[in-house]
Amino acid sequence: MSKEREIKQVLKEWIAKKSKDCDIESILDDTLILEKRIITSVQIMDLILYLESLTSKPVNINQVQPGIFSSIDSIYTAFFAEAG
Amino acid sequence: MAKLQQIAAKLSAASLKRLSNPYTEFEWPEALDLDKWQFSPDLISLYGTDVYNSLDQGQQKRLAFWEAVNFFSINIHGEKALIQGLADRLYKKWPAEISGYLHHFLDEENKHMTIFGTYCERYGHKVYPDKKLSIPAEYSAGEEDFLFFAKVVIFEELVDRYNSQMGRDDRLDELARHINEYHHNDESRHLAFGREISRNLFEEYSAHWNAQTLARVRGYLTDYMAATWKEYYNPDVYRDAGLDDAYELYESALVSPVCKSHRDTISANCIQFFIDNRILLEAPDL
Repeated sequence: MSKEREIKQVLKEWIAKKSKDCDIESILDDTLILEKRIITSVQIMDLILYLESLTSKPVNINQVQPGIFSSIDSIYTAFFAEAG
Repeated sequence: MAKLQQIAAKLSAASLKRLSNPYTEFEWPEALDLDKWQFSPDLISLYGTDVYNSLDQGQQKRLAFWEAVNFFSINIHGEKALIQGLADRLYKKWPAEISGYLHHFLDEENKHMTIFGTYCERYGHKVYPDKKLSIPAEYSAGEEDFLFFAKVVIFEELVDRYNSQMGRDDRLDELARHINEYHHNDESRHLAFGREISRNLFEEYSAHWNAQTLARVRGYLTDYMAATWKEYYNPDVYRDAGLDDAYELYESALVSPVCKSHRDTISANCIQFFIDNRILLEAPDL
């Protein structure tokens, strides 16, 4: 499994765990996780802490646009693509 | 609304009576005595867990200091959002008494932030960053105003339970105790107003909301309460206190029975208010 696949899988597992009614198979790379309410806006804080723990870098909330949390693809691009 | 107007007028009079100057109210020593508690030990986020029990008292007091910086940081971010929301609602559509009280509310929240900010910057050399992100949404009539004031109630009820206890806790360093006492004295008015206006707005608008909107509102408040609690378990605090595996500590505290029991106890009055007013139908799983 490529590093990118691996990271996206880890993110899907986390989101499926936090979601109230969504299983991991239904989360695709481009699934709109906020728009479809798979996770809610108030869970973004939890996601940010999780991303910080994965990347070991703080996330500056003032420098991020809500759009980067819209899908697995956008999260990967914003937080992991450069390092990957 | 008539009762709300009366309450707003009374609260304005009480605020005028208690007008204070945060710049002269407190004496700020050059450095804190970290041999003294800066935060009530039983309110420390990890209190009662195996990790907490394994720390010596010096380590517990160091953790208490960073918990104080985090608590005051939570207050700063909560009050920033509050000030923005209150300012947006000045002279919007309310009777004059309500806008009049919103001015006091704004004034007092601004003063609180200067106090919290001074403590954090002077002794912690930072304010812990906010991790909450606001995402634009579409609302039904009255929903946004109701959610704003309901969130004020949740934020302030939790904060005030801490302030109320720490303001009376003789174990605390005098500065930390005084800050909590000062905040509690203002928050009791803000809470009375927040509860009354939330109840009014819910009564006025919820009758016109469809089942989907009602479910969304209830779901949002439940999630918001859980998210608010998570701010009290800050991995950055654990790192600054020298504890290992900060994120794992955060995750384990969220599922620890002793921590959950603490959250349930502190939240009980707040949840009861929402249930008594049929705003929530059941207690959130925190």
